[in-house]
Amino acid sequence: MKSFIKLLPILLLVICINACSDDESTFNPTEGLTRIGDAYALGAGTKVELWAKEDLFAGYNNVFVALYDSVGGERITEAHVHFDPVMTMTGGMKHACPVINPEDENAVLELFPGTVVFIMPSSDMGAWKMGIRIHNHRSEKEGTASFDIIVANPSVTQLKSFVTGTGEKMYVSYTFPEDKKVGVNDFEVIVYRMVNGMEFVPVEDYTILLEPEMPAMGHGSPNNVNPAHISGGRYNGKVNFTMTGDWRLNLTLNRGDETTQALFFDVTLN
Amino acid sequence: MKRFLLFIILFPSWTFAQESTPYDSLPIHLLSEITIQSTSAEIDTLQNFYRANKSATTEDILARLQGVYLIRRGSYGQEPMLQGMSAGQINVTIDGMKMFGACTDKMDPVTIYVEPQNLEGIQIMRGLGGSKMGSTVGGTIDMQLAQPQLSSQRFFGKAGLGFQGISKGITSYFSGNYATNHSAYNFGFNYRKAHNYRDGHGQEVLYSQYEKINFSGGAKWHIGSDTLIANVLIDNGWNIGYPALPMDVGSAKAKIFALTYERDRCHGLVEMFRIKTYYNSIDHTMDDTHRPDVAMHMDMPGESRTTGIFGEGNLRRTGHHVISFRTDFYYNHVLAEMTMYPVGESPMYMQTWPSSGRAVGGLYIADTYSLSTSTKIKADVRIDLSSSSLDEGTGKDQLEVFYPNARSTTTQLAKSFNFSLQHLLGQSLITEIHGGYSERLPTLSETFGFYLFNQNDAYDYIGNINLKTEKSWSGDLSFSYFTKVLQMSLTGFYKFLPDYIFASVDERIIPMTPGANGVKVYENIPYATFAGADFTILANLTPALRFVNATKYTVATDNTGTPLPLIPPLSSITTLQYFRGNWNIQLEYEGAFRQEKINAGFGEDTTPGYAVMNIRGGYTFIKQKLLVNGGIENLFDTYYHAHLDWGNIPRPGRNIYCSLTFNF
Repeated sequence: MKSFIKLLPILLLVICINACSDDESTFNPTEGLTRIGDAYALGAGTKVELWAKEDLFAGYNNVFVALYDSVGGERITEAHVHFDPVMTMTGGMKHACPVINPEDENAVLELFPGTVVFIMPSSDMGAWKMGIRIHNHRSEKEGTASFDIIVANPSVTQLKSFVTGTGEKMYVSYTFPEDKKVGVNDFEVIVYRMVNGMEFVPVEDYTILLEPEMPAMGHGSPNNVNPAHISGGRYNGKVNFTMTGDWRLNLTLNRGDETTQALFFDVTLN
Repeated sequence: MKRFLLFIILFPSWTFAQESTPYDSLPIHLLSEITIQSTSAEIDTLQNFYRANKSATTEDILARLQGVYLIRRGSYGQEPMLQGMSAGQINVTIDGMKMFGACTDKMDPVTIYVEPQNLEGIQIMRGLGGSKMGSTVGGTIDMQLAQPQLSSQRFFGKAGLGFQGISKGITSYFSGNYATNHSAYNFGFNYRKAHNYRDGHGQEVLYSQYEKINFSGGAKWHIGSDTLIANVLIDNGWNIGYPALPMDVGSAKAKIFALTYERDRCHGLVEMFRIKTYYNSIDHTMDDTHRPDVAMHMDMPGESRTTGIFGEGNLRRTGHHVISFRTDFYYNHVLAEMTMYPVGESPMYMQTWPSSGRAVGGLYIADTYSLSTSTKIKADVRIDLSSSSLDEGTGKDQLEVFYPNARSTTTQLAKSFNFSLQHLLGQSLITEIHGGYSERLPTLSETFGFYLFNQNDAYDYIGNINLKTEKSWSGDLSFSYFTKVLQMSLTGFYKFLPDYIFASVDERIIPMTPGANGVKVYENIPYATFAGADFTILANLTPALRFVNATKYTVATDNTGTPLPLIPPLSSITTLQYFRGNWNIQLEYEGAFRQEKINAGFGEDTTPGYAVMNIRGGYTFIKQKLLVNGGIENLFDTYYHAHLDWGNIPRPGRNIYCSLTFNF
């Protein structure tokens, strides 16, 4: 017994050390994310990995880029990252889609977060290729990594488009920055205008009205916050879910004398 | 805060430990003395009569007690009300134990989990003493459990069978008591099954059936001045219909466990005390599968768990003072869920009572001071400290939709004090004047409830986490006159209730329930007033003939003068009892006036007055061992409903009943 007591501090120390080392090894910036693809950005001496919250789909995708030195393999946390997704149609026509590049040249938790709004899923009609342009601040070299990606067609549409009276083609999508749950949820709507197939610009002057509804019961939810423009075509609001189930998020978009646009997104809360 | 609660609990035991040198003193059972019982002699008679009518339910007995009314939503599971106050405004306790129903729609007041066979008696405490069991503005209904009896007879008990014609209902029960010199054990069993009853027009009232089974057991060990008592009560009800509600009850299960330690003839400051620890659980599920045209099937389970401990007793008489105390602590946790299943779509889940709990610690002290042989002053004071908290998760997230900055824990204090002066005029007239202030905590339902649908007004109700305590300033004046031939009592009461908790329409919120009229949110309205009177008279006309009348009246309005909902009209019950040898026969005339003081916002309409006649009789055989009871209720098959009956569901028509009891 006495010897056990003598050993006790040592035992505790061992447990502590184990616990500490466990903590260190568990930090993984891409935990919970899905790896989409990787390639070397030739010329920049950088290996580029693309991660996302889930498999890519037509709509608003939150994506993350991880960079490594192509020789040493160490992580790079200072760089300019630029997305260049391109879809090549079977006829040879090409088009891009709206993107929001990482705002900062410094990585956030070792990753570079950005947004890609795919306006079409991959299909027999055409295939997507993701280009990621890197300006490696460590080596001051530039290069582009390019790889094929698959963009799924979600079971419930997460992307809507419409043409205004003046012939402008608009794309609207949304995301929940946190996993959606019963209660109060941050909600982001994104609106981009297609200038031409390769150029999309944010639309910043819509007034958006948000009305959630439960079609099965015919009721909505109280105290929602209409999405208001923050920056780069992104509108932030709050949507309240009072229970799980199938919800419809009704959005009404108004801008100047333009005809009011009403559209909705169906979401399922489990 | 926790430390403070602990202090409250430990304090009395600390005083017990300070026992000084022993000296002789007559034990005074103050416990029964300080509780102001409305169950005065005449009412005891009625209570006893209904207890003697073995097929009566606890509700049947409650309905006959002074100042008690029942809110009726079905033929079983009626909610007790004291002088117009119900739910969180009153304490309904079982042997002093706190217990809270698990149904968001008040389908399971705790009185349904207790059978008359489980009970020694029912005590109604209002005014002074009403706050003994917990902070309250309306008083306390305490159902005292029948304890095992130490007796020279080793084994005794009774068994019985009852039949109700109107609902083809049967009741069967058995109870037994086994005693040795120092210990006693009892056991009880009760089974009831009733089908749909018929109203005064002979129409079947659908969904008025019920079925339940009840087991109880107790053990008592007695050594010198120490007594240890263990009690278990298990009550399972199922297929309980609620014609006034859109759903029935699939199952309602309660379990009660209690351990009591009593000590009398103590030495020192504390003369006698008892400590009780308890745990009870209720699991309740609603059921819509028997209803036609259900647009969407729903599962609605609810659970309530309560753990508590209390100590109570009295101090040794010093001079003219008799001081008694009670200190208690309980923790109640509730969760009620609703899952709706729309055809071909995702299930919809919400917590109608978010997972939440409340801990309450309280201290009660009462003093009776004899000014002279004919004048007594009584005073009591109670303080409760409560902490209510929302558990992390869906329930809390839901409520944040309404209260974005909701704190997960709120602490509230409830205080009350009462004062009364009792004076004996001459030989037979007692006058008593009482005044007091009290506060009650908002219920967890009023605080955290989430889209609770009320069928009566068709509104969804939402709790308010910012509710203040409801306050009450009250005054009573009562006169009791008693001689051998005549006993009369008249009590008038008035209550002024600032911060009265009431649900008001909030036009901004869309209801959740399809077809609902809107949403009401609980709030503290400026005030409400209650006034009323209770009158009872018992006259022994001849040694064999007795006349009893009990009349009760309550009126209540909010600050705008609008009548409050669920307030009964002037109602009365008159009984003529005749005893001869082994026979007894009883005629009852039961009635209420028209109620026009209604709250239309609560979906109430004018209720016509009614009067029904009952006739009952009993005969005992074989040296009082065998009892036959029988009678006809609603003799003239009157079609009627009372004002507190939700949905104007008619009461049973002519009911012929009989019962057989065997004592051994």
